[in-house]
Amino acid sequence: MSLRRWLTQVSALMTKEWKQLYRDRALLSFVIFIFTLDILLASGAPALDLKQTPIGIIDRDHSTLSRELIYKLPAQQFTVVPMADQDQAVSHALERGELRGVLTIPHGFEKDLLRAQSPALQLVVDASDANLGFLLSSYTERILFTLSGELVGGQAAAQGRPVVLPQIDIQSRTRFNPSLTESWYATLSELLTMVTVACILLPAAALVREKERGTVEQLLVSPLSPLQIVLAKAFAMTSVVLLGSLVAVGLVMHQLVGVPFVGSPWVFFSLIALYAITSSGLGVLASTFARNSGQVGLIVVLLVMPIIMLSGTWSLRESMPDWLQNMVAFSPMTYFVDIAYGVLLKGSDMAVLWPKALKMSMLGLAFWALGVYRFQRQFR
Amino acid sequence: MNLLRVRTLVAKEVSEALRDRLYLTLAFFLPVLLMLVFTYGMTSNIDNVGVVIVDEDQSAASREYTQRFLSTRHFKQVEVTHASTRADAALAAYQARLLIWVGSGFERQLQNGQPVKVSVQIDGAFTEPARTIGGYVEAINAQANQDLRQRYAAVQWGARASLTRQVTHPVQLQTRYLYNPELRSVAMIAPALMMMILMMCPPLLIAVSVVREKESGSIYNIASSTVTRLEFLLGKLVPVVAIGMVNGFMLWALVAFWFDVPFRGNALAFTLALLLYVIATSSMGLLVSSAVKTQQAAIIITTMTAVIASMQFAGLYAPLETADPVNQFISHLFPAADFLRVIRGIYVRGAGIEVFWPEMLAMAAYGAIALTLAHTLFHKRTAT
Repeated sequence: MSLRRWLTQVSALMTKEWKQLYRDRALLSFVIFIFTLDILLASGAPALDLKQTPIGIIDRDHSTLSRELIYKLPAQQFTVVPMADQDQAVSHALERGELRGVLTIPHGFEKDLLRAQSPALQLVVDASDANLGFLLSSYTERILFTLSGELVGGQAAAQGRPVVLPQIDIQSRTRFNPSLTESWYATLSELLTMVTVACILLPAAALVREKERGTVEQLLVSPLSPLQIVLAKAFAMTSVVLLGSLVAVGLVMHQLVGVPFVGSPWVFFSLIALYAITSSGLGVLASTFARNSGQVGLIVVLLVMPIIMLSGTWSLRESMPDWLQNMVAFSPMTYFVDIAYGVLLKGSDMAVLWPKALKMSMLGLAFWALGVYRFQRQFR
Repeated sequence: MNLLRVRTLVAKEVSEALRDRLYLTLAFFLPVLLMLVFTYGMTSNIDNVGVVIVDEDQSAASREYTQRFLSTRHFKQVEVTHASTRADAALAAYQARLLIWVGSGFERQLQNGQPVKVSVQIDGAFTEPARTIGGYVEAINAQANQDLRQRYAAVQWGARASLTRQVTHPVQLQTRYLYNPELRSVAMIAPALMMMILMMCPPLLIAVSVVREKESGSIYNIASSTVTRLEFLLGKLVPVVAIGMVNGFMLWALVAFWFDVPFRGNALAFTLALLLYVIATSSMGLLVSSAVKTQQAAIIITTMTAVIASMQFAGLYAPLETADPVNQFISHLFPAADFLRVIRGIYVRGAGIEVFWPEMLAMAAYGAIALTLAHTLFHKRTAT
């Protein structure tokens, strides 16, 4: 069989897939949604940061310095809620989640501060959200030391004996996203999640569907090899994902959200194509374990959820336990997360990225080989 | 509504499920597996992060300073030659996420009591780890400054002088962490994952149920029978809610006993919340199944909706208050954010049900609305 005929057959089958997707209006609208509106929505995602975090203050001192301290708490990080000195009200507000912490300024704060008696402030933190709790306590500690140091320093300077002390100043520069704009990170993370789910789920569902309805038998008695059938399915869906990513990155992320595109678009889109093909191999493989659509949904979730949660956008790989790191090495997304952020934000080129791209392709090859083998075997 | 007919339909669904071994196995194992993998994967704090240290001073003071970073479990040194251009590239190539550059003259300036600058570069591509790393750096540096001043002041004015205490310990802060005294991230993540997993599994179990009958044509048996649309939908819903509740209890046991996160609330109140949430998420799955034409569409839409609702709009990682208004509005379209507040409130903080009745009511409303919509969109006879 000539290569040309082989390709014509594959492209004919791909056309059939595109038509099927086009006619499934619910699915089509959803695919359009995930590459446009959903990415746009991700740009407004919440950030793990103190941002007007509600914190209750109980001032037992009612002095000039205690009021000055409260007044100087930065409004960008804290929303200060003055509280009456009542345990019940405080614990209710904390239980309800209306306050993230409560700071108590003790009686005699001003007097002790000026007499160098180190007045003890109390901070109660809601640690049910441990990350935010830690952020709140460490930030409050730092700001309190700075502010009370300033209060004391002001007093000392007023008395004509200014104090000079050695100090290490951190000059911090954040690279690749200088002001830590959450939307740069979040839109790309959302896109990678959606591409991964779509690339695995779309071909898997399409293949199982034909198997379930028996139409795959029709295809198999036609002059087509199983490889052609699988390739057509996967490539048709891959092309949709690729088109979607083009719109998502070029239009939504770059134009609307303002995410920079530092690296080469050619590198980015060829590697996203490679990633889409790799992932669809996983979809083909998954489909061979399922007999009906109900099963394939569960199997894919079993695969896809760990992949998207553990591949680097939501958690750091180097911080995981070893056994999990070894498992995550089999997730193609692990490599693509580095590639995507690398090209888009860091401007990396192939000289840096090739080992990751190579590992990803090896995984893809393995998924495809195993997937096609198992697919063929089902019909013997 | 005829309860006998509903019971018969439930029996039919159950025997169908019992015959599909793989489906049945996954229905019970998937939630447990996801809980285990996610909890182990996501509770790792920011540890073992690669850091490049460029120490041009090579003095005792600079080594003591950089050692402060390396002696925590958060950072681990990555070897790069001392040329700053190469060190820079380590961040771009993902070899390190942090670069600390101590210039020459560090020790001399400190000994003279002068301020000295240390340059730090953080990889900001992943914003959340970047912020945490920045926080660690600030905290470690603050501790270094504290020690430095204490030593300096002791030499200058004597260790017991009031001025020394004033500059080194102006105030004390006594911090108490409520509900999670050791700040274990497991105690934060594992309960919250109940929200995520139950947003995913029951809807997936029900997603193909209605549309499968449409695709295979077995819906015509229903069309020609006396079964009403509501009875048909309830027949689908009841078994999945039952499985969902079993899943919920399994996850609860796993969180409480395996991950050792103490349950502080009222068990009855939490069970009620669990039931309302499972009904709500199952009804959402039923709604998708009634609205679409193909099973393919049903599972894709259900999976992605679950991912979006639980990861993006529930406040799993960051408090919803910091999201923009549009996102806050969208979070109200799903029951996930409400259930997460209930989990953090009743499970973790031990609040009473009276504190969380608005969330309970909201979850009940989601279930009712989704079921009503499914009922409206479902027709016994397909359009074709």
